[in-house]
Amino acid sequence: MRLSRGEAALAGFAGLVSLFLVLPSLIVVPMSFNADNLLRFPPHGFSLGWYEAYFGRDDWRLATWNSVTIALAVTVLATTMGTSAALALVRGRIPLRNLYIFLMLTPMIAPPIVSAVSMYGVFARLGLVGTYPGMVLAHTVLALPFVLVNVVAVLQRMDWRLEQAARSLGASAARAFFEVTLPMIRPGLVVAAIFAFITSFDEVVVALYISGSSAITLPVQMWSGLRFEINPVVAAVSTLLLGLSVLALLAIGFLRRAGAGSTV
Amino acid sequence: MSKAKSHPSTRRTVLKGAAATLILAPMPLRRAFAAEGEVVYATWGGSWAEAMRKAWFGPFTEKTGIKVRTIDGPDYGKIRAMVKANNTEWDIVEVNPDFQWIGPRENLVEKLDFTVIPTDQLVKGENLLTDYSLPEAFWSRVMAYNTKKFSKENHPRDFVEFWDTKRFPGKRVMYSKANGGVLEAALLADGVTVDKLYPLDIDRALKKLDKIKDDVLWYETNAQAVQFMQDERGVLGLVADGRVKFIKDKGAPVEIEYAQSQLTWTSYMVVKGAPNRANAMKLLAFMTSVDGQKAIGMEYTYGLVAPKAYDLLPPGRAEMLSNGPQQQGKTVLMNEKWWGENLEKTQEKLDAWRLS
Amino acid sequence: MRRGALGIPALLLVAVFLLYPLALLVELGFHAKTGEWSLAQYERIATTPIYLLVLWKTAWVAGLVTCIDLLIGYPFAVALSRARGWWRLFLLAAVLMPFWTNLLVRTYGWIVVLHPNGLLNSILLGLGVVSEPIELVQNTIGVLIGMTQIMLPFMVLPIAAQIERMDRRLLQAARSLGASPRRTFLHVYLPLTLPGVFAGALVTLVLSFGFFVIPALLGGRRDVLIAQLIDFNLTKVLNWEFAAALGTILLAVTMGIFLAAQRWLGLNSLWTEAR
Repeated sequence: MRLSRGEAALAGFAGLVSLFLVLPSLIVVPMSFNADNLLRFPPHGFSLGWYEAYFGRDDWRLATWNSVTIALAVTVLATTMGTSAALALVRGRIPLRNLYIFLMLTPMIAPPIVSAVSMYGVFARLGLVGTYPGMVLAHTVLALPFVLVNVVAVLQRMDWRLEQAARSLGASAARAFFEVTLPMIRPGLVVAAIFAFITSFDEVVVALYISGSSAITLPVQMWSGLRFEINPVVAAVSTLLLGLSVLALLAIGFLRRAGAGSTV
Repeated sequence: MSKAKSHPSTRRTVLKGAAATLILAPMPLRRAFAAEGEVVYATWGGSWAEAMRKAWFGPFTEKTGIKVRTIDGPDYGKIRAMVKANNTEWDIVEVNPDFQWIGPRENLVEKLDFTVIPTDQLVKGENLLTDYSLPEAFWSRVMAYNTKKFSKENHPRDFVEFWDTKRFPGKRVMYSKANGGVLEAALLADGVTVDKLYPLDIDRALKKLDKIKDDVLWYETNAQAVQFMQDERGVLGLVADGRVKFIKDKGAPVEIEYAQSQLTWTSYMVVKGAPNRANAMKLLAFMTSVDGQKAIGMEYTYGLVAPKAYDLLPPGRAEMLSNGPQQQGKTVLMNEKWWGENLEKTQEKLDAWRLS
Repeated sequence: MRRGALGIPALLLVAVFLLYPLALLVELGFHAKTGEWSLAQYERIATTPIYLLVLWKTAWVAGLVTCIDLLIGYPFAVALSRARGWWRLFLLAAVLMPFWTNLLVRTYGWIVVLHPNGLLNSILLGLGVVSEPIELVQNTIGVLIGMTQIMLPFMVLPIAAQIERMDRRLLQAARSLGASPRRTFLHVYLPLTLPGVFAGALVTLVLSFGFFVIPALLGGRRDVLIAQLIDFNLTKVLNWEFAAALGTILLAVTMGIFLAAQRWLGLNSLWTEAR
């Protein structure tokens, strides 16, 4: 395919922005092979010690497992609940809708530390501190606004006549939703799900409070590794996560071959 | 999302699952953890926690059978949250000394049981020992200088010289929190004598800070301070001594000047409603004993709180610790009581100055 | 329609696990330290210039970050939606990359790149673009760079999703009716992507208000943002009453911005019933 000048400029710009996005993360990679226990650049010597430290310790492995499973549960829960809330907003009638929207956005607006300290009291009374369901609930609350905002955006520009057509042809409301509406809003849903996953997987402040001592997630474990001094294990973990995500994307690429369909 | 199509009830199932989770949420199962033979210790973590495990927790468990569980991050906010929720998860916390006054004021800590904990062996000093707290360890903020820029013969030896940007040009690395020694340093630089330091004349200190405001790199965490010195972006600094020693050992071009070093400490306190209060008192007695102090002195460079323990260290070791012989007569003791009462107001003024 | 009921479960969850706890905290803000009802906290905020100043600075930084992200993010989203094959995957990986690195480590990465003898300055000096290192961290520039990068995915992805599901026949129709590319863009393409833009901008703006780690680590003397003050009061001096009042004001300001955006920017239609 021949690129026009405009297209080439756009691609060039996108390349530069990509660099801006990846540079601070990539710079961490060489530092994870640092031989001494300072996080410094350029690294001094070469060592796999920090990777050994990661794989050799139960607490790091457990934290990773907790993070992944909690984030997956949050993704399912937040995407489902957020999408139905978005449907209610766009297609239904909600009394005091501006208030409803604002209340639903609060988890995003309140600074994490404010949410964390106030949530702790209620979670503790319900016996949810330090439990798996507690973490899933807390992170689902935080992820909901991201789902809502993204799904509302795609629903706004949706052509509802298609769903109406399906209904008038005798499809049940559920069938019309799942077979007509859902495929049309898929890109927005995927983005919403990604945000939900990331919100949980990357969240540290609320987790510091709610995870107690028995549902510790990876960011909490990393926070501990950085609190007293900078522990390069954290750089190794970051590198592993980067590697994994690149592998996942490569796998998607090979599965789809060249660019059929959409990934976003 | 294609899965939803083949299974239209997914959403409802999930909601049901969520409801079930709510209802079946394990009510105070947590209490089961508060087993007889345990004590929960909230620590700053890292290599310090490693050292404590070796010097204290391992031997303590061996001697008494009581296990010590450590948790990272003794955050004041979390202490308040757990006490107000009647959900105290921790027994002992290691905290900055300002909590000796903040803690009791907010009713977040227990009185210590001095029938279990002997105190005769402890260092004497104002505010070091209260009904609620024991001193844990000494540390200090010292002047650090870059050895490529300055030499053993020619470097700042007090804060008057530290402020002299003509003679000693370059960025100064300082802590951005009001109780991080920066105001004390400014007043000493302005000619205030050590005995007249407190109550701090904040306005005078800020005026003095104005003189070097474009020459300061502010740090928010100790790790950041280390980074500034290591990258040689800062050529002078007022930095925690342990951190400076650490990077010096790793080959960073830094050296310590102990003159007018700001001596402070960390404290042990027991959280209100601590699940293992009695065990906590036993562990506190163990750690502050002369033997316990000797053991930690071998593992870490914090200053010991039982002076006799210094005599038990092998030759040369004492000089490596905070508040060791190398530092005697050169320290300025922080008035942490004043800070416990005035931090909030003072920080407000410092922030206003930062924005001006 | 009874579709409105679909909004109940989500609201219930947020209400029980966040709104109720927050309400308790907000209530605390209307008490004096001694416990009785009082407006003392708000009086302190109103009469101490620094708090309004910090709030203003926070709004300014958040607004600027949102604008920069929109200016970079929109063309990037367009490029992403046009890209195919490996190039597409690369761009996608770039957008998602920041999330796989711990925030503190990533911030450290920025310092390595930006500081006076860091990567970027070495390159610029080597190329002769500058003759002296430029100060890019420990000042507001550093804060802006760090925040812009972290918030960019939140801007890009919603816009890209919107472009993705756009009906391209509308563009073809406009072109075939003789509209210039610019006219097509301004009158067809841009309006069709606006919901994504609004979604992205809203998330970016609102999240930027609560930033804490980045201003603390990449900022300098003048970079004090509201979240830092709230954190200080909550975790350092335990003045929860005052922190609650600051938090309440922050919530009120964000709500005000949200409502103002709806009213004055003509974005009203975006959150109301689609016809």
